[in-house]
Amino acid sequence: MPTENAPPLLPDLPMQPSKSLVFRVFFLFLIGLSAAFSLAILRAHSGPLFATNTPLVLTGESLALTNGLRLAENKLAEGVVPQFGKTLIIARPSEDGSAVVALKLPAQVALNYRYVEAVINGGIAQGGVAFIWRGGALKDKVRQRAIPFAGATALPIAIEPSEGWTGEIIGAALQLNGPFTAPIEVESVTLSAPSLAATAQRLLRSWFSFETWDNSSINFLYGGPIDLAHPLPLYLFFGLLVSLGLFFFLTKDGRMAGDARIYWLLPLLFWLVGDLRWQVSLLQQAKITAATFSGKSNEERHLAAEDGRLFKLMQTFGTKMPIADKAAKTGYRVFVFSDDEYTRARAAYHLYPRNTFALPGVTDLLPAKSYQTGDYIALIDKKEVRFNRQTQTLNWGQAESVGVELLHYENGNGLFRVGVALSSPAIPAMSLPTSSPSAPTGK
Amino acid sequence: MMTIFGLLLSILVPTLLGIAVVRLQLRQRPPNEPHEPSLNWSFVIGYGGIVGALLATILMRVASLLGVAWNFWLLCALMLGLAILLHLISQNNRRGTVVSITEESSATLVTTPPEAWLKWLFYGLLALLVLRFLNLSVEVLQRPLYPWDAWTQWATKAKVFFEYKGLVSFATLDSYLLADAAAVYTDAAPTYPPTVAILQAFSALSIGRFDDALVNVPWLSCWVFLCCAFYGQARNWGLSATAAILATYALGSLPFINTHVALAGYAELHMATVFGLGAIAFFSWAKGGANNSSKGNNHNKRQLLLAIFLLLACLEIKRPGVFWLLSILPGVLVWWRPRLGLAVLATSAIVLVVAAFVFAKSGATIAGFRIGQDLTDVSLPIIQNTFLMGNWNLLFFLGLAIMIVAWRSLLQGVFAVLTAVVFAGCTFLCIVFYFRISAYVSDFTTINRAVVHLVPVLVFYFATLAWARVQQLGTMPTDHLDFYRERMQNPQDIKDARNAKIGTQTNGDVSTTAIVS
Repeated sequence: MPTENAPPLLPDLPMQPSKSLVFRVFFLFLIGLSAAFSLAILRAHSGPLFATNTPLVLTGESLALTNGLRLAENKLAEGVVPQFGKTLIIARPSEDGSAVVALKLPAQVALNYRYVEAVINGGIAQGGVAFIWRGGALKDKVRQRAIPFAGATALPIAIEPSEGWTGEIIGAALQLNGPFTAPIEVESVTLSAPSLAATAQRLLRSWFSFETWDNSSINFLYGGPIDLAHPLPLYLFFGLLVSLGLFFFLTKDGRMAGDARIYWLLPLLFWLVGDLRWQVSLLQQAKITAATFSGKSNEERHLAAEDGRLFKLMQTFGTKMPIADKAAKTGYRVFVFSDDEYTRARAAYHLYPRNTFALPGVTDLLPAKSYQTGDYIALIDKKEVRFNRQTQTLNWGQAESVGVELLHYENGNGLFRVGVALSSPAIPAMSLPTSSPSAPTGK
Repeated sequence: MMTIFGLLLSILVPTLLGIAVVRLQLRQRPPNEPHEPSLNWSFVIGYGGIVGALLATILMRVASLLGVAWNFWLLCALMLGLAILLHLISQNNRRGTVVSITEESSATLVTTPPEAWLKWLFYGLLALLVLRFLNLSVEVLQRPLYPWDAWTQWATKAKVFFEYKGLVSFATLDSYLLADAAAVYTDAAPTYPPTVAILQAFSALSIGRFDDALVNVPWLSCWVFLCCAFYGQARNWGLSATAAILATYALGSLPFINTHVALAGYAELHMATVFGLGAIAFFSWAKGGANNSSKGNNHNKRQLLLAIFLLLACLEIKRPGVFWLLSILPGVLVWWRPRLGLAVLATSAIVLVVAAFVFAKSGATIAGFRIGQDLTDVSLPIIQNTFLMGNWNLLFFLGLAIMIVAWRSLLQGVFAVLTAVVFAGCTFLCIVFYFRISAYVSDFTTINRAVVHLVPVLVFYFATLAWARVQQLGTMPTDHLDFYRERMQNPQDIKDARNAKIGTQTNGDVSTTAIVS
């Protein structure tokens, strides 16, 4: 091995980045970041630069439920831990499908406040949440602004005078449109005066708000407010361009020493900012996941999950059916029907590995001739199907009917075993027996 | 403890088989044949893990076809036996062969950069990836199946396969209702390939029960193997350790990819991994060919075989796999006949643009697509999802910037092959988005789940382009040997310096020359 003639190991290799490189990189990074944040504030802000009023925080008696059902304090839903006296808990919307929480506000609120932030916990109002108010020039017109959510977190909104948030405000409220996934807690509503600081805070909160898993997470991630008025990646890239542009000009003028490493160090730093947001959100989610499921068996985890009650019901249904034995050719099928797509598919999943049928979009029961003796029919939250106890038949549609045995009934949900299948064309509609008043039916 | 042991075995044993396959040497190398570059371990482990998992599913399918009920221990023994056999064959064929440090292999031997601050950067990024792994582990190991398709079309099959210890037919509605209830099942996607479900069933077999959370361990391992293989291929390409870990961190930290690990159960991650690693192996093979005058001799056959195996495996992951397989063809054409390939590519681009924008109002029908009626402008949701939302961090901004800065390289040398494949992939996505599933694009349900299949390829493309461009600029995150290469023009000096360095450093960053046995 020609070791004797070898050059010394790494003769002039820098073992540390020069202080000036670190300084230059962070100088450029901070300038770019500041430029990006300043641009965001400029685009998001309107009104005076400095606040003239302290924030108005509405809790407890300042929140009055005018439409919807308030949950009595001694009848709390499972898992809801309210702060008595401060938090308003709404069990469900009223019959018109919404719950309205009136806010006690001073008449001149529009003059002094422009940012609205609601802290809402517990369930999700699937129809959305809006801030509504009446006042300004057209006093009879109810105006509204949808409150955006990042996952389950309500994000702050800014209301402009041009939207009618001006003059004397006659009334303001939060409107929560049902259905609710669980009782909803309205903890507080805060109104802030416009200022640069409030705008900056609002932006940071919306960018770094916790984004919990929901049904859409597998398809897309918000990364901030869904209106995408101020998307963080766009501002970060703008900041990166400012940094690189500044570096380019400073090195051209000779006021800064050039170093091509800066071309990849700067993108890395801006990437890390975006990743920091995501990492923090992931860690928060991991805490929730661990708190919900840690140390539990598979069954306990299912019971603790969002569909715990459905899982329990399907467990009960499962005990009524044997596991099909393929080798012995003793197969049967389980037909699962529900008016709700999620309920139908999820219930079916819990029944696998039984031979389960719950195809997407198939809400109505299949024609009677589709069932064979020994099959099972599970009805969960299913309307317009009747069970006649006297004739032991399930009846639906125009004249569809099938002979069944009721195996389990619970809160409008039933499991039936098909006995003698009756084909609809053979049975005149008029000959169908009427349902027994006590017979269980779908909801 | 048995659960952990079983799960570890369910990953480890197929990986050992995969590693033996990746390292397989079927014949003794003739003395005059150039030595093959030694393999870096991240490449071997990454590709080994994915190949092994796929081989495990093939074994299980064969067992099922033969009517043998799946038994975890039997399957493990079979895989281990195969792994040992392949290892012995390779060992026998390598015996006495001295692997020299060649120009090509030098980069793969250096695992970490020499400069202290670059080392810290390297380990810092690695630590972030480890943190992400731990974070994702919490979700995968504890949360029962969460996302929709996971429990309507994938785990449904897995539960049944596990119950019957073998494959069971799934049929569409019509066939299902006519069939024997004991023989045929159905779910939301009965015609989808069963590979992913078999992986879940294998995990269930390893613990002896179907646990809705633990059966998803293959998603966690898939992410790890993807990162390892990606890093290994980046090093094979010639990227320094720092540049390679930077690119790997960029890929492994992408929020949407992380989500598909955390909320395991969809086939998108496996589709992205199998297609991505197959395409990257093809690029590496093409690079070997592009650097040599005679294309037939010095190709890295291992890369080619890996590319063929993984790209064909796309067909068995998801149905769109056939389109991803086809998207490689323009790359093959460009590699085979660069000018002809680029001409065909340019013509295709022109035809597509004309079809999209000129015939859009005419209602013409081309290849079954009614241009005028079916074309829906979904540009806004695509831009929102790729650039503005939280799905991809800065990936598409930086990728676009890199392509602009390195535009001269896009059609040069091997990059023409990469560009052709990326172009084909993007074209496929655009056709699907604008013509076929525009409704699902507008409501954001399918954009990212389709884009993610191409993302490992895109990250590799952007990283190698950036590397080429930064090298032109002069200063790089250097490694030992890169550093010497920069300073010594005389090839003999490079060789001497390398030998001297290897002779004096027996452990740490640089592997030693050795008789590979």
